[in-house]
Amino acid sequence: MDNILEVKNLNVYYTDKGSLWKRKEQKKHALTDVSFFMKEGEVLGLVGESGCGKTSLAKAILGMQKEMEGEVVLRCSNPQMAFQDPYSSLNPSKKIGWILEEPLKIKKLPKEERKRRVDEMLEKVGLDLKCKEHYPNELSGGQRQRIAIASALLCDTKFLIADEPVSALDVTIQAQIIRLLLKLQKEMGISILFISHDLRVVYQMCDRVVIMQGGRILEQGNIDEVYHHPQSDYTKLLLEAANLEET
Amino acid sequence: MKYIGKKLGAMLVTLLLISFLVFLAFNMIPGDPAQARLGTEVTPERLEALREEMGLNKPLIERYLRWLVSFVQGDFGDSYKYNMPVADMISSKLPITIIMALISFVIMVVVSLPLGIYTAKHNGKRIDRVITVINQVMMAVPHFFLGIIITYVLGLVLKLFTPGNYVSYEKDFGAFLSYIIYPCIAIAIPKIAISVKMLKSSCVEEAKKDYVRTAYSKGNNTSKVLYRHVLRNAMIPVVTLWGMTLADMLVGSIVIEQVFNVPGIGRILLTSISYRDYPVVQAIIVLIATVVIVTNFCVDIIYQMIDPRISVQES
Repeated sequence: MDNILEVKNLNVYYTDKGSLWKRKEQKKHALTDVSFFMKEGEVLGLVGESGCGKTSLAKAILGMQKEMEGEVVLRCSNPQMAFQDPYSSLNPSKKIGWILEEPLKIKKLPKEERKRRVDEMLEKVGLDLKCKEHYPNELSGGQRQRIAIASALLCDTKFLIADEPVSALDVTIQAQIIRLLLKLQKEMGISILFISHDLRVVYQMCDRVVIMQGGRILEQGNIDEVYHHPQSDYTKLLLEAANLEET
Repeated sequence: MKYIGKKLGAMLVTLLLISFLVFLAFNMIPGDPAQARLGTEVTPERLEALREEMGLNKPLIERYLRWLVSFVQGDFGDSYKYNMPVADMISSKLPITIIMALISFVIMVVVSLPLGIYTAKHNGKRIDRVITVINQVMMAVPHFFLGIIITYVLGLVLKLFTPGNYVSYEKDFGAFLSYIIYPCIAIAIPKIAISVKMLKSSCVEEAKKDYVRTAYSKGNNTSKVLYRHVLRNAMIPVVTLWGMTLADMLVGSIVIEQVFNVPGIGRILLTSISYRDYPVVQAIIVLIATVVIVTNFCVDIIYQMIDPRISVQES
């Protein structure tokens, strides 16, 4: 099987432009020598505390990072992203139907085709067709995350970055969304880069895992290997804190 | 619809309350209108007769209701000073002030919308900083002072118009407009500064949200994201500001009328205050309050149209 994503020696900087008077430019490292790969159709977990560069990495993969060195090869067109906060990831002034149809409109599909694809997708993510007439704020967090996923998948992508997609939801809804993501991944053969700080969720979802700290990759490998034989102290600490033995 | 009904009810209650408070205030001001009209050297019998004739001996509530009913019918009472109906004095002047406020409002919207979007697009660049500094200055300058500067620069130095050469709109509407545009610019400039600042920060704030990233990843280009997604959400606080501004401009034009020698409602208001011509003052205050409240009502309705979240609590 081919690798859908290859990242080699990726370095990302942020420049602090200084204030109006102080024109000193300072470079800050957000990512240092990050290398990993993703196979087609696999779910890769990306674990690390907040501020460790997970989101910078996601942006670099999507080509939204300006100052970067290294190589990112993504063998997939229009990669999509699902965000942590299902409240702000949907435009509050548009109806759900409009939001879902937008990518199809940009591709200039005919009206009946658009409607058919939207209805089909809503069924796939387990939502009622009536929700098309609602505004995002009228839906629950779980429903909104389903809409965000549906909207991402309607862009015909084979690659989805899920940036903490369940951490804003309560536990039962979390389980539903995880099941949904796994179901969609199997049915549609998409690869998911699953960003999370929750080691339990990662264990349920992912085939392989990458552990990050302070902009560097500490360790990566098969999920069972990393979870049962952690190499770095940081991973051990994370696993201890997650208390996985009980589950 | 239910929302509109509720708002309409609230608006009527507010109007009644304000008219009552204004009526009460003018009744508590020392000085007897009948005495004021006849002077101090009058026999008590004549004074009493006039008080009877003017209805001043009736209880307060009865007088208020009588005044309210005739006010709604367009009869604002008679001016003490000129002995003519207030309605006749105001009716030819009110359009001037309203036209001025409306033109100022249009100038503000037409200028600040593209300027706000432009600065939002160039956020953090040099041009944005320059505009921000100019904005700060314009916001701090009172509009009557701007009026004086405009009179000097555009009127006396550049000779675009002759200061003080006001033409009545009944005589020559074109000449009226080409004169009135300058006071309107003076009224509009501080408001433009505020709305550009607000629109820009609102756009920048909105553009940070996740749905904007999603919109990009769906294949939209920058201007599509801005006009289809960001702008509408960013406009919500700005529309509120504009609503309040329209009322503000009406009041603002009262002062500016003095600077540019425009015989609008502000002129009558000021002279009436100095002559203690209470029926005139009272009528103008209630009229201005009514315009302000009705404007706010309209803003609420527009607000609800662009922000669906507001009506949702009802359903």
